[in-house]
Amino acid sequence: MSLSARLAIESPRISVDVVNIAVLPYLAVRHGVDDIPTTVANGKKACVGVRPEEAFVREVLRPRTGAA
Amino acid sequence: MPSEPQQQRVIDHGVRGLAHPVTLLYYTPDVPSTATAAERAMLEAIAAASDRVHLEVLAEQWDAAREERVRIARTPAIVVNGAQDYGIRYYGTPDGYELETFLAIIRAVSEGHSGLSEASRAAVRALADPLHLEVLVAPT
Repeated sequence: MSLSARLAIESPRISVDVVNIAVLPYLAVRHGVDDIPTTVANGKKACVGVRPEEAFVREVLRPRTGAA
Repeated sequence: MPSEPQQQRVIDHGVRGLAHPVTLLYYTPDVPSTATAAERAMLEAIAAASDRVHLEVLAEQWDAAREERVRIARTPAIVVNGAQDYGIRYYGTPDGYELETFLAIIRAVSEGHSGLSEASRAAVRALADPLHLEVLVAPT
C-alpha cells in the first residue's frame, strides 16, 4: 500500500483511497477480490498482491500512459 | 488506546523520528459507534506517540458539500496530510497488519517525497489524466 501513497506524493494527478474491505465488503465483491491487497485503478482491477515497485507502477499506470 | 502492548510498540516505532509534521483529519459521524470509537482510539494513540502527529477529529453530520470539497467518499474517513494534501484517504480502522501500513503512509507523507526510483518517477510524469487508486486491504 505504501507504494500507492508514494505515487500520490509524487503526482498531484494521483489520489489514493485505502479501503478496509471489512467495512465495505461490497467493494470486494464488485472487483472480484481474491487476494489482498488488490489495487483498482480508475475503477478497474489493476494489480493483485504485494508487488515490487517496478511491476506495481507498470501495472497501475499501463492503461493510462501507453507504457509497455 | 491500543489493547495490546505489542500494538503500542509498533506505533511508537512507526512514528519515531518523523521528519516533518503530519495531520490526521478524522471525519466521523456525530453519533459514535463501537467501530468509530475503536478507530478514534487508535488515531489518538498514534497522535499521542509523536509530537509531530496532529489529530483533528471532525465528528459532524454528513455534509455532502463538505465531503465533496475535501474529497472523501464516505465517513468515517481518515485524511493523511503533510506539507500539503496528497490525496490520500483511509477508510476503516488501520489495525492488525494494516497498522504498519498506515504508519508507513504517515512516514512517507512526513518525508514529503516519494522515494520512488527515477524510472517510476518518469512513468508518473507521463501520466496525462487523473488516476484514482483504490487499495483494498483487510486487517489481518
